[in-house]
Amino acid sequence: MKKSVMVIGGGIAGIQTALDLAEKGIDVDLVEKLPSIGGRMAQLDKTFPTNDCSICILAPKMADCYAHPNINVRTYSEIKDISGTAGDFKVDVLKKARFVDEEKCNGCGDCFKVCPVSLPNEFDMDMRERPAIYMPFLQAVPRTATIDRAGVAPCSSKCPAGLSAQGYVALIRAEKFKEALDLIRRTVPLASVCGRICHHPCEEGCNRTDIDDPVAIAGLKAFVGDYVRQQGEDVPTPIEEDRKEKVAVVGAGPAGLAAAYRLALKGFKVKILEATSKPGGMLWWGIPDYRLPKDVLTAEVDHLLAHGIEIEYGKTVGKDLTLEDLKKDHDAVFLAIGAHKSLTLGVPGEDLEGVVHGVDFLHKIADKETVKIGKKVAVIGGGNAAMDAARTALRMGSDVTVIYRRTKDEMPAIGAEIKGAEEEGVKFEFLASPVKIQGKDGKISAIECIRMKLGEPDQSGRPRPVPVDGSEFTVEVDTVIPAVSQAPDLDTLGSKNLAVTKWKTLEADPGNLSTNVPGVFAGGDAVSGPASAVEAFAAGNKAARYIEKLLNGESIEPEPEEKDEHVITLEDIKARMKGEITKSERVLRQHLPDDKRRTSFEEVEKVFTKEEALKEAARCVSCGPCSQCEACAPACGPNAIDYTMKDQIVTLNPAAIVVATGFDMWDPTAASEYGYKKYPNVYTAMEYERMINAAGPTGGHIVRRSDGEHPKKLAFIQCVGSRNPQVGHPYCCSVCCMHATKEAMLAREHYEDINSTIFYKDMRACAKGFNEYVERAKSDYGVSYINSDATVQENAETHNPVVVFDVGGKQQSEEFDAVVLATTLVPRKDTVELAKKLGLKLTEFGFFESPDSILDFGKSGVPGIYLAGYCAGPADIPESVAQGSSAAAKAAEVLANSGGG
Amino acid sequence: MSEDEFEPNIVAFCCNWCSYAGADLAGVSRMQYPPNARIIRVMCSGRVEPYFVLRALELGADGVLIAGCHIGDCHYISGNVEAEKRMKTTQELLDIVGIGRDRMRLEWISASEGQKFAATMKEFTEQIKKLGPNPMPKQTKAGKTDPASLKRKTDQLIEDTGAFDCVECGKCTTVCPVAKYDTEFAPRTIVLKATEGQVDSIVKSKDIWTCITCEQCNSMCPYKVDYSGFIRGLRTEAATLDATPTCSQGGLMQGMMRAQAYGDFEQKRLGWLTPELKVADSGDVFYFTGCVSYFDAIFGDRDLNLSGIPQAVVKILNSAGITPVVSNNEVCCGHDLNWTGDEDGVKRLMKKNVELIKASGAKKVVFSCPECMRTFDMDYQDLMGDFDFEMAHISEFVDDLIQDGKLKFKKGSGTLTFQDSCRLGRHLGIYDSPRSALKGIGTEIVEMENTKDKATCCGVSSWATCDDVARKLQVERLKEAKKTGADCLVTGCYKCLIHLACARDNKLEGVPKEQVDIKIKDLSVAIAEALE
Repeated sequence: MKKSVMVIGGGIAGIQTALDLAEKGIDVDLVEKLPSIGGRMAQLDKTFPTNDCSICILAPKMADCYAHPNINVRTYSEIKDISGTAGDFKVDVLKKARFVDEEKCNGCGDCFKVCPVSLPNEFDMDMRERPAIYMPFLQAVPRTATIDRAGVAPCSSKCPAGLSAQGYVALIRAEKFKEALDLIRRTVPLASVCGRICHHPCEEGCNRTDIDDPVAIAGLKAFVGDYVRQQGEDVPTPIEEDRKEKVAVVGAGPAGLAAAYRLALKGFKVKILEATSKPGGMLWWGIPDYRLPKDVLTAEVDHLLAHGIEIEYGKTVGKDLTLEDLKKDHDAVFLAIGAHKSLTLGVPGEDLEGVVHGVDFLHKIADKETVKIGKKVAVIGGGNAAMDAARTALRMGSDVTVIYRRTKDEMPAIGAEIKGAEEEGVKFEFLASPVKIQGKDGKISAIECIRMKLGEPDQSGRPRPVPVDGSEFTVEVDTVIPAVSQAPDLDTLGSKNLAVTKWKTLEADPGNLSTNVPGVFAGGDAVSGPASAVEAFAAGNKAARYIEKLLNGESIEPEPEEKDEHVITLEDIKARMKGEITKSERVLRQHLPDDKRRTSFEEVEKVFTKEEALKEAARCVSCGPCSQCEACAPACGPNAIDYTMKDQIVTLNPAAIVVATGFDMWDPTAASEYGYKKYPNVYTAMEYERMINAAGPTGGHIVRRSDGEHPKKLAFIQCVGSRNPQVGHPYCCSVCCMHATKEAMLAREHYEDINSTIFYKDMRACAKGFNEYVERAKSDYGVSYINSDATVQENAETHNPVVVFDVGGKQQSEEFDAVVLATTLVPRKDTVELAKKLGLKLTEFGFFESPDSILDFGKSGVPGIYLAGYCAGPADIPESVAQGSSAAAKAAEVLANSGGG
Repeated sequence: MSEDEFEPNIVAFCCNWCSYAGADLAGVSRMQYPPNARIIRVMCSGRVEPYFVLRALELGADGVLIAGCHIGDCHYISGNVEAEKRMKTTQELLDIVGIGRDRMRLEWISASEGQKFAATMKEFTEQIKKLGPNPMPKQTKAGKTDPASLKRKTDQLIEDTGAFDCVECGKCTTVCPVAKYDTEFAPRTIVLKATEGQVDSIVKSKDIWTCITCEQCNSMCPYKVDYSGFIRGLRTEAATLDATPTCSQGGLMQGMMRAQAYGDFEQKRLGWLTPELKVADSGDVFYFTGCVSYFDAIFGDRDLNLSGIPQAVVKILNSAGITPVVSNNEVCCGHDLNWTGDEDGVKRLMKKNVELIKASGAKKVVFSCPECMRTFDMDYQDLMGDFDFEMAHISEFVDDLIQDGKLKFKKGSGTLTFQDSCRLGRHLGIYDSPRSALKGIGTEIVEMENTKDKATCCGVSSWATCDDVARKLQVERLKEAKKTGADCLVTGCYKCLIHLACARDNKLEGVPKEQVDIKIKDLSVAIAEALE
């Protein structure tokens, strides 16, 4: 195998090393962490002392690297592990997934336009934003998009249906409402419904919870469902395929509707058999209007049905026809009959007049039947059905008490429901359980309860309630509504062949939802027992997937569900952010006024207005950062986007390694005497470079952050953080005297009326034409030089920075329009880790150490590993290039000696 | 009169109008009285400052008499009323230091009372004879430094303080609060002159006394030049050449310190101790009070309740179950002598204090004054090596007690802002404990614009720099405090308290009162007030 050299770092030093080696006929692997090579030089505007355009002289070299047959440019890659010795290193390179095929992508940028996520643009020093799918700069090499995806947001990962919650929040924030609804519908068919009634595990996971409040993800879902429909844009998806297979779905609840919808979209002939007169299952019959208005449910169901789904009401399987009949007429059956049979309390008196079980009560209300209940109602239970029953009874004018055997903390109902009940005046009796319903003349007169205390946790993880002896007490009631869980009505369904679990639910394989009867699948509450709508949607989706496979003749062996993507934590976000996350309170949904709540079934929690929704969606901190909204793949002409890409480890076997990893800029925020981040018109040198760059965030205009005006008096302060043992950087950064001179000259080139002053400790303009450059700055560009260090204050009214300095032993101050700080350059954060991996020593300042830095610079102390550029100590561009060539020569020696070159 | 009999040296300050005439009358009338008094004519008895009395005793007088017009008869209307107040202060101070108030006497003698003058003289001389000679030892003055040893000492100073590393960047001047108002002053030029060898002119110049030693420059200097140490060293040399300025109140505070350094008297320092406060002679924790215990005698008319500070500290310690050692034999730590060039005085005070603490068996010394703590922690240990006992500022001590749950507080209210004094902050590096202690008592803290290591000094260092620049700094700081909207400005150093209050309560030209009028409270007092 031909020997090669690895160059770590794709800045100008690394690029030069690679080119020199390649020209010698040596294979080079140029490994670069960022999505493009180019390094810091790509960020500059011009280079001193010639004032050449930086990217103009850099890009041809970048292009040469990429095109060179001997150079393999490996971007978005990092060093994982290294072993071996000179002549034979083994390096594991982590090739991060960019989710874009480098071969296919042509850098057209169509995907950038559709990405809803906005992130700080690191290349532009956070002065501009970029999308999550991006190219770092226009001249990027390779010219390939990259998706910035560090993991999955906790909201998306917690959704039982696997909906990309961050995805639709991001689309809403970008005002792409139709796209948001489309994304939701790919997993959850009823957006307006789900957003209103879901128990939103997504919000429990939201990373904003530890800062202020979670983002109202469910509320946003309800908003977008309503909004798109109101705009008249909720049109059915055209169905492309046409299949002849017939599928029967038993039950028009959430599981059934989801399965029917998915299958209909694939072109199958779907018929739903619904036992009641209305669609929706528990959504219709169990949830009162004040939580889910019937017109909203109807509109969304109608939208689903409009995809060619047939539905028959009043058809009960097991009564009007059997399961066997269905099997004969259809190619597959999905049983989603839900759990509508109330469990009983099992106490004496449960058959008295005045006892009406929870779901029966709610069913009758939903059916607009007149239900007679008394004035003093006791609701038994702590789940959503109990809350719904209690709040309904209250609206009917009764005095309602909820009796629950544990405490409020253990209630399984959604928090907002409990709060709503309390606000409306429902009373609660905790740690109590009924033992007997007392009656007179066949009617209820009172309910006898016993006090409970919390014992050891039971299998639900909650403390088991234990009755306290002798603590019985009686409450006078005329109505008792037990709402203590439900079970599927398997007796009516009938089929003796179907396997049943010990909890009296249908048995189905959790992996593919097939029952023991071939061709019959089951899911939702009928299988799991009472759960949530979103879990039912998930079941419907899964059943549809496997039914499709069955009908395609494929194996229905359950596929492993991959959940191995890293879930983003708050620490992850804080680590990649530069500032703090500003606290902002959640936008609260408007509520119906209290007096109207108790007397009507009008919707209590109003859905967000567009303004409220945009404000709330803006609170999302973009965990991913990619939101996995999947808007980019359809927009890509060459079909280069591949969401299934994974990080890979590539093992390479170089004979020698050259380290050219460059530098970071120091953050002067802590040195408050300079006013950076305190005063708006104080910039760092690199921020200035980006501003003055015509391709930068301001199009080459120098603008004051405070008022957008261009400054007429500009001050440059040198040695900010360098030559300073006080802050820990005693060294000279080697470039700031020159770059300040350059930047001052460029200011005059941009604006004739600008005057610049450079405050310096020493003017280090050594050789290479630098001194002539400084003299030219003075004579031709009117740059003033003042020999004094300086600090910055501010004229608070005008936001003009005031520079305080010392000339002639007198403290003086002068007002400027803007200040540029020549911040020192420091070793990269990950230098310590890389040094450990490579076995390299660091100097006291944290740069890679070259043991004989006078006569043999570039040798690292580890044979076969060489150094080039700023990572080995302060150096300007010409020096870095020279060091690159020198390192290339040294690396080539290794190959010559080991017979590989 | 035998040669062995003690003949007291008495200094008599007589006012020009009544008492001097009275003395004249006695003489003209050939009235006999002992010849021990030297009469010094002042225009008014009100001219006599407490320091005159102390200084006279320092220089060898055995007794001091002050004579003035009768109340109501003063040629300047109320000068003698001032004299009465000041002499009361002087009496208290003499008692505290242990010299005793009996060595001075205030008498009203009118122009016609020649008889009274003679009688007073006779009585007073007898009184002093009975007391015996002034126990104050003659102070040793450091010998004048000759130019060669001055150059040698300065070179050593440049080396020790790293002044040689100065790159003339001028950063020190840009952050110096004095240089902001006094365009003739620049830290950089003093260092430059010294490194160029112009020692003679610097040592005698007023520049080394203009510096307020706040260490803003030290904290900003890229090369960590110990500028304040450099100034201190130069001041020591200046003192040997008598090139020192007059400190506040004529130099009273320094005089008091010297009395404690050179004298060996039976002090009376515990007047602030009220009966419910529990203290002991030996124990694990030594509370070093410092001068604040007697400052109410000097600053009593300013309504600052400085005695409240040591009272508050003992109350806090008692509340946590600690009975601190509080000693009557404490002497001033010497901070103000240290920064005005009297190195010898500091050494004497240091020896007395360290021996006292060792004898008490204390393992930890708590300070309520950051200047005392700085002097012990940095200057004493520089001279004597590291001590066996630990040292803590009261804020650090309270913070630890709060963390250990040993202190219980009422619910706090209102907002505070905290003045980081230069000694507590930049010198000792203690910024967080005061804030954490104040948070521990449940109050909300709002920061001033210039805070922590950028906080501005109160402008008067060791009583030597009270001038218009100091006044401007104090006004600026008060304005900043007022701007935070806080109810109270809490100081961690009672010097800040005294100087900022002085600015607030005095006539200020062109500054509306409401811009500077803010309540100022000491940290220990604030914490003690919040105890349950």
